[in-house]
Amino acid sequence: MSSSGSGARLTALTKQLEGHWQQTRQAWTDAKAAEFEERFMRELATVANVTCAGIDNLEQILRNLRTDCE
Amino acid sequence: MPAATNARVTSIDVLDDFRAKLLVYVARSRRLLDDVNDEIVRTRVWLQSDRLPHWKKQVWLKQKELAAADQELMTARLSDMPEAVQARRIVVNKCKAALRETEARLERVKKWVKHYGSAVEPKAKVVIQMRQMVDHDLRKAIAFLEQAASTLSDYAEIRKVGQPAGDSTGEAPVASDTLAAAESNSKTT
Repeated sequence: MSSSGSGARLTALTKQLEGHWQQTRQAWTDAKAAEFEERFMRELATVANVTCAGIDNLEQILRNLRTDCE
Repeated sequence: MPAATNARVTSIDVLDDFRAKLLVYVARSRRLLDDVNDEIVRTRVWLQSDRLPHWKKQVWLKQKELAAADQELMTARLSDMPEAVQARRIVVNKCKAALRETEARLERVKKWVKHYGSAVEPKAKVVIQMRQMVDHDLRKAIAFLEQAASTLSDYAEIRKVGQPAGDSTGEAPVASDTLAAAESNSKTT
């Protein structure tokens, strides 16, 4: 199934971006950086976590479906 | 080139670099989320247009096989051949078991078709939410970074013009301060 492992791939992509952000944060330390982190990075981390768990769950359901119907 | 000027240029680069990374993230996550959504749609079509007719046909074939085996058992009984009757009975039993198994498969497929919407589609909502975030919020995040880099760049230019020639004492604000100063400067002008 082509979407298999999508949750894990999204987790990896998001962690990679968070790593880049931590590096950026070391060089950008003012209030605007804090605002950016609060408005975008934290929200992204929260939504991505929920999405990754949801996709893992979805993939498990689709695997069960395929086993039942093959 | 003074150290402070280097620091400003480097910080604009840092913002640009992160913006580039964010653009890559947007492109890759969008593709990934679209793949998941496509899979949900494809699976529904596969269930309804492929699996359902396939298992209906299989049930029909197994019914035909059972009918043929029953007929052969009947013929064997009429010919009064106990060994043949025994052999045909075994075949009939196998056909019945195969038909039961196939009917159970068809029932499972029908159940999936019926409950697909409630079992799968609510899970897809998180994918849609994430897609909206990628499309709207991260677009705003990219614009935010562009604006920050632009403000920083403009302020670096203003300072360069305002600075007396040969003033390279390194007193210019570092990146983090520059942006706030530039913003405050832009508000007062």
